[in-house]
Amino acid sequence: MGNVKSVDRILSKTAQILPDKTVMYYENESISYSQLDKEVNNLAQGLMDFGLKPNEKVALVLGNCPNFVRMYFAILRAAGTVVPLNPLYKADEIHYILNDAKVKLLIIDQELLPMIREVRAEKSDLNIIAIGGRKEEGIVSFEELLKKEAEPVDRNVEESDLAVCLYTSGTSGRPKGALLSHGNLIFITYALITRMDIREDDHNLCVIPLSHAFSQFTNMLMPIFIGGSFTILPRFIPNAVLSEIASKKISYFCAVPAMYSALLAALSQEHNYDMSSLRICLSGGAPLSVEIIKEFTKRYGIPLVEGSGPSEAVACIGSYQAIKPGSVGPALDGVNVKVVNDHDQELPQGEIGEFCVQGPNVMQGYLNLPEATAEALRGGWFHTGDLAKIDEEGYVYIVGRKKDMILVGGMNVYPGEVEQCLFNHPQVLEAAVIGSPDKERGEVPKAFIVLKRQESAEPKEFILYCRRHLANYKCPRQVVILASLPKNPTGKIDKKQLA
Amino acid sequence: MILAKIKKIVDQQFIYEGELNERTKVIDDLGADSLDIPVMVNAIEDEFAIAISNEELFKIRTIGDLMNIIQDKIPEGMNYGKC
Repeated sequence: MGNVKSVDRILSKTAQILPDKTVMYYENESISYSQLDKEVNNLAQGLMDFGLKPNEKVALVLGNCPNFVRMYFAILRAAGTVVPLNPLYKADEIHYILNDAKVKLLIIDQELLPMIREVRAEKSDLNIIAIGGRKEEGIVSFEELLKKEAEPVDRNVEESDLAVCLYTSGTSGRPKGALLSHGNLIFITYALITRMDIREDDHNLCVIPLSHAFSQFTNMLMPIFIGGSFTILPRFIPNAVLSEIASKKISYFCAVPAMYSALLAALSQEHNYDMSSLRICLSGGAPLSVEIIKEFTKRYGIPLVEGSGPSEAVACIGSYQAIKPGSVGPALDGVNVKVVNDHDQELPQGEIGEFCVQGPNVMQGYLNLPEATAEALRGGWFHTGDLAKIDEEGYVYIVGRKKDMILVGGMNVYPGEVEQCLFNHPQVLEAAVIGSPDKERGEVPKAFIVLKRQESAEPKEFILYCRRHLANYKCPRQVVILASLPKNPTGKIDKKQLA
Repeated sequence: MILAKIKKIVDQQFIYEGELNERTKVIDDLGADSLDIPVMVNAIEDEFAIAISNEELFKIRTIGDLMNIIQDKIPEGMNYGKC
């Protein structure tokens, strides 16, 4: 399929070759390749009838379900750009992104409509397609679009056209939209398939949110590109995952470290699930402890490999034939990696520096942020912000972060974004947020606050305040109120003393 | 009675606004993430001596959903009453 230029055309090709094969399972639903391709076509025509023009951005706020897959491919077939948003985001976060990306069309689960009531009132030009069956004034029903029969949609899409705009938390306090082209997605997906040796007869379990780039690549694009199949679970429930692996004979599984930890705990109980169908497991999103790898491999003999994939440039993944615990593997074929010092000079093998990536996997830039783009892509290399070392065989070991970031169960949280939210609270004078160790999630945000003079408040108030404005995983789990925050000689908050 | 027992468990695990009631949303109002829910449900299974299936777990959106599941499962003659 080397001459196919767009992601959705790869679905069409797979549907021509394997029309009757089931591509995805969800609850009692099973969808064949030909059915998916036809539905994608109907929906693409519906989006075009709705006025979607080439290169316009469409926001997708859906949990894990087949409609995410349908709409993702339909937007691409209509030559639009998908802006997948975490359904856990709060109204403020969604509002900011809709404005930043100039989104005029939003596709959302009907259950989430009340949450965006204010956004709708302020953005009168926003068109909404809701998934959920009920009819509502000013809202187009997804189910009606799906039923409309359409002629084959044939909008021209080039490899260089934008496919997705992936919002990542930003150090400055606001999320940034990383722009990836069809060429980026095609290159990365095939490179992952090759490295992981994914086959047509593989069946994977999709449990990580599809709004996350890691899940889009490993759970949706990889099987569709290779003619495989996948089962979607709406959310992570350890026993449900184990039950699905056993009953659906799942052969590869991708999760974040916190999930592997929870699965091992669930497996240590009285349950006895048959895991023999699993031949490969992948972990990403956060560092995986060597203890988990050893325990998993010892108990099941299943290779558990680690990958490193910032949304901006999925770069490395372990090879299950040659795992080095603690390493995220060598660079994908066709991708160059190096580590550099603070002057961007390349460091020798084994030395720790900032991890940089170059190749067809690297994003096109950040939306509306030319300075941040130039900074991140300086010298023709994407600077990941990760601190890493590379061994003599080219295996990469991520050892820390150059940028201030907290990894909560595989989700990036920038303290600056949480601190910004706390600063908006009328009683807060100063705020500092750090990562606090958490057994299940790796880390959770912990806030230290100084109140304005003569103010008094309970820590709980600030947790609830954050929860009104930020996705739950970004909110502090603990708040400590102090008389002052420790500072270094230049007056900057010294977070090391808070840890 | 069911709600009071759920409240005892929820209060140990979550920080939330207002009074816990049938309309309280597990994710939006309690701030639960996907790792919190199995912990809460395990405690509820122990408290009421019941087993909640995976299918039922996926359907829990509110405390009311949870109360209905518990009500259907507790043995006859052990009527806790919803409140």
